[in-house]
Amino acid sequence: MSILAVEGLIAGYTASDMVLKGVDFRVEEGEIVGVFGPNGAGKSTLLKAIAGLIKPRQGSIRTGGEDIGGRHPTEIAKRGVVFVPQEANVFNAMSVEENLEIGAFLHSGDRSRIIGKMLSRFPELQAKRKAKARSLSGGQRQVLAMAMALIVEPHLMLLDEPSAGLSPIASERLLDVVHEINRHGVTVVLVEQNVRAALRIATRGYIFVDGRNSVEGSAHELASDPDVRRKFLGH
Amino acid sequence: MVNYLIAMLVTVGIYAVLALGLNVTWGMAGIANLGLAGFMAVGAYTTALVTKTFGFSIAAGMCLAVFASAALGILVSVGTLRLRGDYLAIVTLGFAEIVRLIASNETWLTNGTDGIAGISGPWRGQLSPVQFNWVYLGVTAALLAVSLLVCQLLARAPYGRVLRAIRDDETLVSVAGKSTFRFKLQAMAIGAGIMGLGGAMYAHYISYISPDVFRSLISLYIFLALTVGGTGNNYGALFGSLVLIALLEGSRFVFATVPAINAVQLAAAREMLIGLGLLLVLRFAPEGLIPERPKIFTRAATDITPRN
Amino acid sequence: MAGLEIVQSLINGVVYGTLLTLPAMGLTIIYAVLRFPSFAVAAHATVGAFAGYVANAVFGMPLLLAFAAGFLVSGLVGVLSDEAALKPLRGRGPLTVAIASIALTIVLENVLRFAFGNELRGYDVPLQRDWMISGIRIGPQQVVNLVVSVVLMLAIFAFFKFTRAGKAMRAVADNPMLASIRGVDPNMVRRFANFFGMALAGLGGMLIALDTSVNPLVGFRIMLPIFAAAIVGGMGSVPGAVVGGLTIGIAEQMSLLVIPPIYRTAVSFGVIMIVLTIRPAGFFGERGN
Repeated sequence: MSILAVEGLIAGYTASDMVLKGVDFRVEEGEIVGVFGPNGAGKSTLLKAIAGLIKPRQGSIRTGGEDIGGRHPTEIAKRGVVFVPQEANVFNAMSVEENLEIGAFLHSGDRSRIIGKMLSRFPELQAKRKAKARSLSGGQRQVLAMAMALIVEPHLMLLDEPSAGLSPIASERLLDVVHEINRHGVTVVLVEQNVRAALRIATRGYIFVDGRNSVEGSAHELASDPDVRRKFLGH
Repeated sequence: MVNYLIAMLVTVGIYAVLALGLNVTWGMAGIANLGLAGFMAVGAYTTALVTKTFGFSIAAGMCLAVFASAALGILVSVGTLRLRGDYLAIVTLGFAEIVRLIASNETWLTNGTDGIAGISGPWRGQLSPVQFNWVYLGVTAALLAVSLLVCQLLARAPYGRVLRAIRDDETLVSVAGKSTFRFKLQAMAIGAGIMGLGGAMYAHYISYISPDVFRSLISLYIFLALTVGGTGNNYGALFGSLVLIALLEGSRFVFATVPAINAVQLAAAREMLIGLGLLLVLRFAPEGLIPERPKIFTRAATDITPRN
Repeated sequence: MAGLEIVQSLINGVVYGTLLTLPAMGLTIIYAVLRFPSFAVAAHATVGAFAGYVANAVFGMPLLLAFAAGFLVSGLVGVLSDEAALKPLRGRGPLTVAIASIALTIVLENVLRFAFGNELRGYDVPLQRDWMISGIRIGPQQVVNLVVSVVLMLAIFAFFKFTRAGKAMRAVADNPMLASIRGVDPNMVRRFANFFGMALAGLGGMLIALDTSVNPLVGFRIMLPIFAAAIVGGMGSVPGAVVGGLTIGIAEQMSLLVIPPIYRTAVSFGVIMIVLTIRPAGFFGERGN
């Protein structure tokens, strides 16, 4: 059974304007699935719909065989599906440690232990644990955002352009962190503008155009597809 | 009985003028001006003082009332309009309270809490009370018509469209290169001026004013009138005032029939009714009885758009 | 002699300012989480004053229990009235909700007026003589009020700093969307903020009524100073409410040295105007425009 299966999804922000016009999307356990496409193609909207921030108009979103479409975001997080938004993804006025505590809000076990574990896993956060999140660098903030989502030990993590606004080096480093997270057993859906870098770590990818998935293939297939190369890889 | 009905119609007319003033600021420009009672008081006191002390004509007194209120409208908002709307709401409410404080304490000017009596009315001396009521109904109708005309011209002109655009999405307007500040300041001045006119009309009709008349509660009355009628719609302001007076007067008679209710309880029950009325209308009929116009943009989008 | 007068005013200002701080904190907490200025804090200050009065003067409870009654009753009324009157309007913008909160204030205030009338009532507390300490006059009740306010203030700081619920509230105030996807239910937090905010307003109202009298206008009279305190400190900032409360309290009492007492409310207005001109976001405010 797929860890995530989206079928015929139609959804949007207002009653009249549907950003997603019929999306079929599938993720298998252990994968890193890249989602690429031009601005406004509906990549972020897809993640928000899965996370429960937008109610689907039509279609289904299944995880572990259960339809989660239209459920409350908290319910969806409890099912091990976590979303890391592109912007405003940390609590600016709270310290790194307090951010992680909110991340652990749904965790029923020993919270201080798991927070300690998360801090030792990401040394750059350990060094800044008392600092307010707004004082972090762009890369550190993204790491904190992901660490906060990882605390509940999710099966599936939805990342919305984690490398946006980062320098090329920081962006490479961040995708390495994503790769590392995946190796620890978390399935990842990765929306990225930097297709070349994302294809390096992705197992499979989808190209979105105008609210629909148009091309799907393994990372290798996409990287060698002439059309994809011309549009997204610059040659 | 006829006399009572005319008196009520005059009151409806005065409230309608106040509601039109509120409609310019809140209804069209979306500025939460809670200082209505204050602007009304400034208008009333201005005309009372200049007609009584300096022997100005009623017409001149009313003109001065409009200018004085408009000037204060500018003064109050010049520092706060650039700030968030909720701050202006508080500042204007504070302004109204301070006007009342001044009216209560600067006895040399306002005669303090005793108020000012014997304010002239048009031909009041030569007419019987009933005739005066008829005449004043005419005056009220004329002034209401003028206010309505001004507001309608305002609403239809490109100026009105800019105001509504500011109300619906201020950032969009400022991105489009319009100075929202100047437009809002003008709306405040016009709105406050009309409120001042309403106060002046009240003073010349009742012939007596005191600080107690201008409690902030009256601002809430007018908010109710405007919301019932249809915020943003000038005719709604008219119609809503009629509903408000019907409610206020009707409740006076109905509650008075309840046995063993004392005067304080009667007043409390009526004020409660106004508060409750506004809450119910806001919830169940937010567009009012005469909606502004069919909505082109749905506001539902704001429900799901995350805040920054 | 003049020096002594100034010291006396300063002390009075600190005492009064600490009393203002509680409702100002209530206002600022509700603002931080619900994003609208709730004029209903005024009504809940009155509700707290009457709840404490009923507990103390009618049922004969000691003052400490009456404080608890004022706190709990106004908190509960706060949650219930918000659910019934304001919550359904939240999608319609903060100004609409703010205006509705004025309507709610009128309703609550008149329910109390209907039940209790307009007369001034007092708590059943023994009259105590003021202490004179080297020419400075201090009332024992003032000291009690000061201690209650300061203890509560410290408790609130500890609550936000150390408890899970406090951190959840800060998270929702900071970023409601992120809080909801991390499992903090914003609706629950909003209810909590309402309870807490209105309970603080109620206790503040009761403390102020202890100093003056219980009547339906207790809350309305301090509305402007409460808002001034919250705005001066920066709407949404809890430490700001403390600084703002003290600023307004001291400014008001000191001004009595030079202006007639009747204009003390005008001082709040003046301070709001000055601070908004110089520093639009207040002392601790982060969001200016």
